[in-house]
Amino acid sequence: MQGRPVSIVVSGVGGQGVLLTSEILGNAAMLSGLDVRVTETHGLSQRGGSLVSFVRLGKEVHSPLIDLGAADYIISMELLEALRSSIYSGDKTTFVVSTLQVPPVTVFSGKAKYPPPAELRSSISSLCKKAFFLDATGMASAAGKSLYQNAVLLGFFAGITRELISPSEYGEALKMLVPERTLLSNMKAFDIGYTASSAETR
Amino acid sequence: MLLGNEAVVRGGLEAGFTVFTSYPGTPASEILDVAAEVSKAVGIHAEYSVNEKVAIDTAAGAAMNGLRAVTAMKHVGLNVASDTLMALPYFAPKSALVIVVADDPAAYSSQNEQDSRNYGYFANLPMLQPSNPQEVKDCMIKAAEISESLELPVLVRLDIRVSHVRGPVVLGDLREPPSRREFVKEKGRYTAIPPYPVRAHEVLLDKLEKCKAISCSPEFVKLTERGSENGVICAGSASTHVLDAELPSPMQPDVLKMLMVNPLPEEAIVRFLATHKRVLVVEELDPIFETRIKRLAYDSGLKTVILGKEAGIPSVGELMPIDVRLAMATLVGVPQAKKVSRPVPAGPARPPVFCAGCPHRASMYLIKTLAGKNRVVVSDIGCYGMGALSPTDVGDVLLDMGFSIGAAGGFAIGAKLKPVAIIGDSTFLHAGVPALINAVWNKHDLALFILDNYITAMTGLQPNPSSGLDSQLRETDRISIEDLVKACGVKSLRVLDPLQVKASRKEIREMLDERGVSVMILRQPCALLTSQQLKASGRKATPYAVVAENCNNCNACLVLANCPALIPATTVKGMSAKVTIDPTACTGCGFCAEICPYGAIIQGVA
Repeated sequence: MQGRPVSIVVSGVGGQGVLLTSEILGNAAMLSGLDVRVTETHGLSQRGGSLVSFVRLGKEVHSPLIDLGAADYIISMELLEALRSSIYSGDKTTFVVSTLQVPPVTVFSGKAKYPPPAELRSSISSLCKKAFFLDATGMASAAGKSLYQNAVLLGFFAGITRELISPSEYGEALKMLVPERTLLSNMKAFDIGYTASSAETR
Repeated sequence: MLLGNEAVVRGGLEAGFTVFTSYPGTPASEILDVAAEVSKAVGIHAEYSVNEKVAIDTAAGAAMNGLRAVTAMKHVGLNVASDTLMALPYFAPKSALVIVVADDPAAYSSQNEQDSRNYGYFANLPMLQPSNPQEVKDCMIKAAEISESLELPVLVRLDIRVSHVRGPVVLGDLREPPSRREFVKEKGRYTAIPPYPVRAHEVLLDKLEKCKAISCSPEFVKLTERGSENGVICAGSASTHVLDAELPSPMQPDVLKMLMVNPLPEEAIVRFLATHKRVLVVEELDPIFETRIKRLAYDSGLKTVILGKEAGIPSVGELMPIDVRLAMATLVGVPQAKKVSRPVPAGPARPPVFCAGCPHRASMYLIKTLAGKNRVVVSDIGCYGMGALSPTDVGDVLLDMGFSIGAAGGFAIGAKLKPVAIIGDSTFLHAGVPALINAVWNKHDLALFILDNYITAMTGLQPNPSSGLDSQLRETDRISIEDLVKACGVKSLRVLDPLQVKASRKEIREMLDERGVSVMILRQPCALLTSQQLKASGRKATPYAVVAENCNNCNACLVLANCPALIPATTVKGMSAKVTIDPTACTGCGFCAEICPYGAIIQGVA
């Protein structure tokens, strides 16, 4: 791979595994010989708040940050958070989005309404080059638990960016970072996402 | 891949450091978390100190006694340690002492955006500023060498985009600590009392002068030469944006990247200025390099055009790649597209919330309903500080560690109603104790709530003296906060469980009606701690559930609790027309049951 680094935004809700997913992606890139930087917004954004993490990979990468409008890919684990992270989206951006909806506390307490999913999807699609919406929790259930939706999303991302990192490297990174007892399920969920990407992009 | 903060520890181990101290604070917290975790395996001493002042003092003592020591803290932590920081360079240890400080531009988890590079100049200490995890590790090793060759502490300045960045790191061998330079009594060498400080000041400045040669050595000055008449001078995370910036290739400027930023590599900078027509200084926050480099140019009679903040490099917030690219475009004189401004998309906000089962939820509710309306509430630093945000809205004033008690004393002077101070266990032990003594001594009329959850939760569950656990989570003496409060001279003290909402109300009303210093300890372990302990013992919490026929859908629980375990009726289509409780998220704290006006929430029914 050559040229400028690839910039990936990972977004979701604190506790969904945004950081772990970014780390798996970063390690997979490193294992395939790429330079990597991974960073996140932390602190007050934990505890169920919005969470955004940046992964930049390439032959040579220095800066960990991604400018507004400058993401190549945005992987999002929640529909509303996908829209929120569209500030990083531009004409060349591809979204991989879980259609999972996690209503924020402002909705619980009746101060706001969760926007209709169809509206969210069309807003996101209008703000990027291409958006893939996946029933990632449903697909993950086939691997054992809806919890493995991150591996589904990562598998799908791996499938649409085959020239970047090979699946075996993702497997190695999963081995390094997920607990042993969940490894097989995570691998299976990854495969489900990976396979789904060929159907979508054919 | 290592996190920048992990690289601090790795570098420390490769350099033979054996003592690590810290008080947790984002973005520096992981440094001691990791050091404590590996301490037993690698045979080092790693301790959380009660505050940053004690952390630096402990590290200094260890280094005076011949052990290589590291102390790590966040930027504002160094303010707490600054009394020692300012005198220690005069009377420095002979063994390596490295002070790691991590800044938080954009104040993601802090009360300000201070630029701790100022401390290098203020304290006259050598300062290294690495830009990625690999450089962090290397800098720790170099810092040890410099510290011992000059007999001076060395500052290593990180920021969130170094501390909280993961990147590849080539590991070296762990090193056995070098032979100890035992403490030898030397008259005046370590005693900051007249007549010694003035002479020591002179010696300090001589040492720093010697350091200028080190600062210019190739390992600390990285030149990227592209044959341009334009140049950029930078360091740290700002340099990462410079090196990534894409301009049309014949326009790419030369780059001088510094790793040692105090003293500046003056000779190297003058050479760079002399060989370039225009030079841009790129730095986050304060124009520190810029001011010094302009002076250097003046003193050297150079006519080089030097650009800095006026080229559009912001002094506020986190420096972004686009800011740097646009300033570099100005430098080389190519037009560049303007900064993209993206409207923040509409949609409900997702503010951070107290965890399910968090006892602060109940404490905040009690304080809000009984004291929040007409009394000034001064809050403090910790998870409960989030209470100052909506929808909780508890805390009219919040500034820095321990501010609450002293400031409430100030509000008490001439106040109509007793003001309220809120402080957590760790913050009270860190900086609240002297303020409480002051309040008693000066007869301030204030109500103090100490929210004791046995842990420093905000920064990632670090033990503190109220935990009864040391840094390696071994049992140690628990410092009793009530004994301490009594020893401060407080006569009115109550200890309550905030989750007993109804019982607590009466006591709080009584307390607010008293004159003088009244203290209430609201004690209940952090929910994360409780769930860890349950998990470890193989037990499970007994969740609460809503009895649908008793629920009136008044939504009091949703509005008052803001608990992530409560699910509003409307989102569970066709399943429940009433509020439900997620049994996997509910910790069984029972707060919602206490506030339900219909008694519809009961423990243990499914």
